[in-house]
Amino acid sequence: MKDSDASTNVNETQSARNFLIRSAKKSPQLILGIALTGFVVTITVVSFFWTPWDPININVEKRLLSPSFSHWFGTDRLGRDLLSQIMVGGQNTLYVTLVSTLIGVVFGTSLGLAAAGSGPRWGVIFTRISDIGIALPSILIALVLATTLGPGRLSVIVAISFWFVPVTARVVVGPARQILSLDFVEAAMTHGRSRMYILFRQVLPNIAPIVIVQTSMMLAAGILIEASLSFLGVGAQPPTTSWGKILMDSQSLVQEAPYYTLLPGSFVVITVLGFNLLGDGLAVLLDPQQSQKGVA
Amino acid sequence: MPLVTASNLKFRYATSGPWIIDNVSLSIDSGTSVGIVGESGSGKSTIIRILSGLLTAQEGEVTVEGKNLGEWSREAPRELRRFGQLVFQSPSRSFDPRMRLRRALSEPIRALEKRVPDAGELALWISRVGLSPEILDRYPHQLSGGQLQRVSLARAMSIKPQILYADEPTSSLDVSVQAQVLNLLMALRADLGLTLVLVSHDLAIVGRLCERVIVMSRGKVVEEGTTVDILTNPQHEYTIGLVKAAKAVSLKLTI
Amino acid sequence: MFEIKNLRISIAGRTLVKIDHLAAAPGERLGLVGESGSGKTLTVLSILGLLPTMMKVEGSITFAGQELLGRSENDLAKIRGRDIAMVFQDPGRSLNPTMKIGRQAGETLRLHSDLSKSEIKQKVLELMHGVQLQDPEKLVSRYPHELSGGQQQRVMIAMAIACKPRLLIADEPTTALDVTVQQGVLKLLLQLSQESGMAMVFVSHNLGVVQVVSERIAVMHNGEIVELGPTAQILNSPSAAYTKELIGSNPSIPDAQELSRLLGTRFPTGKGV
Repeated sequence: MKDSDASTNVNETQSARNFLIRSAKKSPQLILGIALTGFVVTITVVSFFWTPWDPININVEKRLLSPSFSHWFGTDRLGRDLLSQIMVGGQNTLYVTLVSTLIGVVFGTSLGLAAAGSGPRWGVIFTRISDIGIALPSILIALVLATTLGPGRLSVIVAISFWFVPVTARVVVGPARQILSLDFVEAAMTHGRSRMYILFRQVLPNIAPIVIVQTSMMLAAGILIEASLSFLGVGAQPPTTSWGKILMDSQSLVQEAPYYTLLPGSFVVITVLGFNLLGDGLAVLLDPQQSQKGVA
Repeated sequence: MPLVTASNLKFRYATSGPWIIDNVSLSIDSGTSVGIVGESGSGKSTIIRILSGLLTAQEGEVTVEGKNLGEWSREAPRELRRFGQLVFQSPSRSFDPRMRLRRALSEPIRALEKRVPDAGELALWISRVGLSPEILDRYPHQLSGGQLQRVSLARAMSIKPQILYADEPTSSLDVSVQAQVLNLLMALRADLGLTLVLVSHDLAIVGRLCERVIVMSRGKVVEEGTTVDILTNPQHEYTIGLVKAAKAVSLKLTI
Repeated sequence: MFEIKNLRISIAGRTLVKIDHLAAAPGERLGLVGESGSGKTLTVLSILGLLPTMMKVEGSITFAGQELLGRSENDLAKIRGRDIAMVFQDPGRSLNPTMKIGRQAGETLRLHSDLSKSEIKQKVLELMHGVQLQDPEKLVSRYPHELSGGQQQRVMIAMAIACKPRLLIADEPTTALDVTVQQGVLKLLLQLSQESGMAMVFVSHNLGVVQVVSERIAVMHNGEIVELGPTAQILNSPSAAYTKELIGSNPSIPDAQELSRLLGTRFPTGKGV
């Protein structure tokens, strides 16, 4: 008895390792994506507990120092350690994109599924409304919201979500309709399954790869939009900081202190790239036919 | 004794499109096997979806065991599912690609009887259709068309339906596999006293499996009668043409 | 007309088709029957050099005495459409949905002949008459989706015979059509071959359809020819086990005698009446 338990444990860990190795081979994007996003997320999480310097410690004498041993990323225009700023800025940026994406995915997918599962009349109404939602640029919406709600994180989240929801819904509707036209959906209906069950237990799992890729796209887009809005002064308000805000501060100093723009900018690039690769990698892995052939 | 009847059914998809089902009335007796033949656009696939409750006709009435569908959905909507099981043409599209066959096979029982069938029950149904229980752990894409169609039959039969609608069940299969599946269908029917409605464009299949034939064209019933009558003495012009065309590609065996 | 010798088609080391010898005389109608995976489509595609590049082809395929395997794309392009023509299964997918019928039908003529535009137009109308299409003058300005399946297939056939090919290969030409329409198309193919002396290879999984047009039938299974002979012989005295299986599982319409026999045994009275 015990022997077989031990051997199954060994087999399980072995097959888990084999699975990871095979996944890596099939989808190097996934590994790279995990690495990049993991890096950024780790740094951000660490910033909750520790940063090299106190990020809000203004020390005008030390302003605009180039990267050195004591300040790895140099200092900003007010003498604050740039690395600490970027680490803490990540908190805001990631939070905003995570929340907006969550709202976008949950409501957008539900909306898309509902539209796919409803009759032609509702379908047309849905298309028109989502057309409007997509056509309005999020940045403009954000600026409008900023004037009414006041600038800050909330406005940014609302603005981004306002755009994410119809975009996701649109992405979901087509594939959902396709799945709904397949015979196994009719079969489920003959078994007496409710419409909700079919939409969420049969259609959704079958469009999961699409939703996941869409999620990663939105995470990436959210970073960019948040950075842009903060850059325009609509997003994070001091003392909160974000990468976009740092870019706003540094834009006039590009020639004097190039590191001041390049470093936060690079973080934006790395994070956006990381999320995109993550999405691509997951999509490859999640196709059941592909993964079955690989793992079995 | 009629099990299912349809009176003056009219159905269309768009609100102002052509009538796919154009004033169709028919009746299916308990315990019989009835074939519905027609070519593309005849409405044969649509009519069984209306009879089984998947689609709702805009006009007309369907009764099952004397009660119309409206009464059924008020009084016993779940029981109605025993009169609405289908086997579809394309085996690969009949199954959720993400569900293992074990789960797929237990779906009707889960949904209707609100219980999870045990392994023994599933194994019984799988062996009844000539497959070994180990395929239950597989995914649909790992089985051949013929095997999947057998699982499809097992799935439909698992809730002991009174009537089974088969929509071109063998058209997508290789010829050598078709006969096996059709024989299985007939064996199950004999064992369980099932009423069978078989939709096909192939008169040969209908001729061998069905006692009665309903001929459809462009949404209307053109002719109906016993298989013998329809095949040996068709009356309507369309039926005559259909039988002639089918005979033309019949194997001219001189034995 | 053509002769296949020692044909081996393989992919990644796996042999898909293995034919030692298959030939057709000029004007002969040869039927090629087999199920999916039998290799019948690959075989005919190899005659025209239309196999996917990842497949390896060895052996010899001669047409009118000339070797086809290994010829350059340019040479083959000259032969395709002019000397050897092909009709495929689903006309709806073989026709360009954005091109009017008239223009498409004239394609092969434009490519292989020196006729002027107006001459081609005239020829197209003649061809469409020849394939028994009604009102060709109206049809030429229509788009494929405006035609029925049967009409589309007749257009395909018209295109195929436009340059009077010496060999026509038809791969499941009637499988996607209704049975009443099928009858007409089969009759047409038979007639065309008989009138013009065009050789024909008719490929199908349906033995019943193949026997209508073929003088000889080759039965394929797992990439090999298991039996070859005159149609009557194949149907009435098959020697290969697979052929017998194929005949047995091809349901024919039961006649009155068989029907009464079936009534007695096959139709149990339903329980629970």
